[in-house]
Amino acid sequence: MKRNHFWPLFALMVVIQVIVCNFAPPVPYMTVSILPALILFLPIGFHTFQDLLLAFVAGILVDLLSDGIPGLNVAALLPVAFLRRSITILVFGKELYARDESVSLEKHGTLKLSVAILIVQFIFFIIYIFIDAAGTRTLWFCLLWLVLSMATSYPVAFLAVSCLTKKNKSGWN
Amino acid sequence: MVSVGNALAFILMETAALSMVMHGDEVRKSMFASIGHGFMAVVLGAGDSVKDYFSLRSQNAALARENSVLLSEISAYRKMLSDSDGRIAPHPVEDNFSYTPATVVRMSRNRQHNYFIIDKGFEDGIYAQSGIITAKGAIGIVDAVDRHCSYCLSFQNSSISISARIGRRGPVGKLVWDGKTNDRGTLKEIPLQTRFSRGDTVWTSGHSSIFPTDIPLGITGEARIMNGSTYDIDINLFENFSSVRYVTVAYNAGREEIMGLENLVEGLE
Repeated sequence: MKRNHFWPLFALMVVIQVIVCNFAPPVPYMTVSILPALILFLPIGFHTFQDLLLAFVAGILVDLLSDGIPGLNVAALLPVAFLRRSITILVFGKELYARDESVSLEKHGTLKLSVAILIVQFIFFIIYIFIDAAGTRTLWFCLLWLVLSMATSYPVAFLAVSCLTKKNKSGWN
Repeated sequence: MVSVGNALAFILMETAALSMVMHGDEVRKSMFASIGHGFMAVVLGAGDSVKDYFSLRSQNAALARENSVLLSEISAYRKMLSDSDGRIAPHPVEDNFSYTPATVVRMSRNRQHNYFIIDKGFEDGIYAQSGIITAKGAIGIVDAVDRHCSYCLSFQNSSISISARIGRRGPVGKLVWDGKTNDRGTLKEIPLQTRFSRGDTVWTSGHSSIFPTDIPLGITGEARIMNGSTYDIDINLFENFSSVRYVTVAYNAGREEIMGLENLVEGLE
């Protein structure tokens, strides 16, 4: 996908996330989020500061437009943006940055893509649930919340990422 | 690898985000005043309106039931008056509360911090920190007020608790949402020496200045001993939050006086 297609797609994904936040989760101990995967698969050429800035903007928009706790999505998303480079190198290898190529389903396969998505979702939901529950819920309740959120968010995020990286082998470059 | 600049930017942004989380109430109130939740209520409430249209039959049935209960209460009072040969004057109960009917236009039920928006604002006589009640329970507290709509924290919000009593004269505890269902709560901090049985009715205690006293909330279920010192009791709520539409806003005119007194005492301490 060409980089000039990035911004409309990014905006569309944020709008989808707002709709999901407002209407989708059927139970209160389940959170569906594609934001961590969206941040993970930003163009490889983006610097960490740009990742942080985009994570902040996307998170605050979702918080404002879905009437949740202001700052909750931002606080959970920023660590994902901060660790994006390390996670990408860990899962896909250093050569990705050396060749300045983006991640795609065709090149890297389902397994690697899934592992990367699950890592960022785990980081995101651990922080999200820790802040949202804030001493009001038991450990078992939070664990159930984490498992259900990851189980429901993973297929949605995988679908979104595979759609974004499908048509062009170089992803969002 | 990670540069010092990026690490500093991350720390700065994360601190700002956590600060927003901690001062959520102030941020929400300023958002309410600036971005116009009336618009949000219209846009996001559209889905709720469609759903409500298809539940009109059950809403009407609930209103008819409530009407019949009120009529029977009026009838009982009239009989009491006629039996007393005019010795009892029909004094209104002086509880300082004023009541305003309102309609819920948008309600979230799918997270741990839920809220709802009602179609009445400060021009309709709604004040912040008023209680929202129905015939079947207390359902929330007004948090921020706009001209013609108000943002309310739902009982289905992990930061809300209601002072509740088992029976008319029983022990008082904190009623909180269980976090999972639309019609269950937990009554916390009930002393171990208390006697109660399954099926006892739970009422608002009147100990807070937000809700009037003796509003029925639910019935007691299973009890558990917590830390060897108090009971946590499951409560089956009378109100099912999946079908709340028509509500009443209860404002305590004496609240400011009570708050002023509390602040004075805190200042002396």
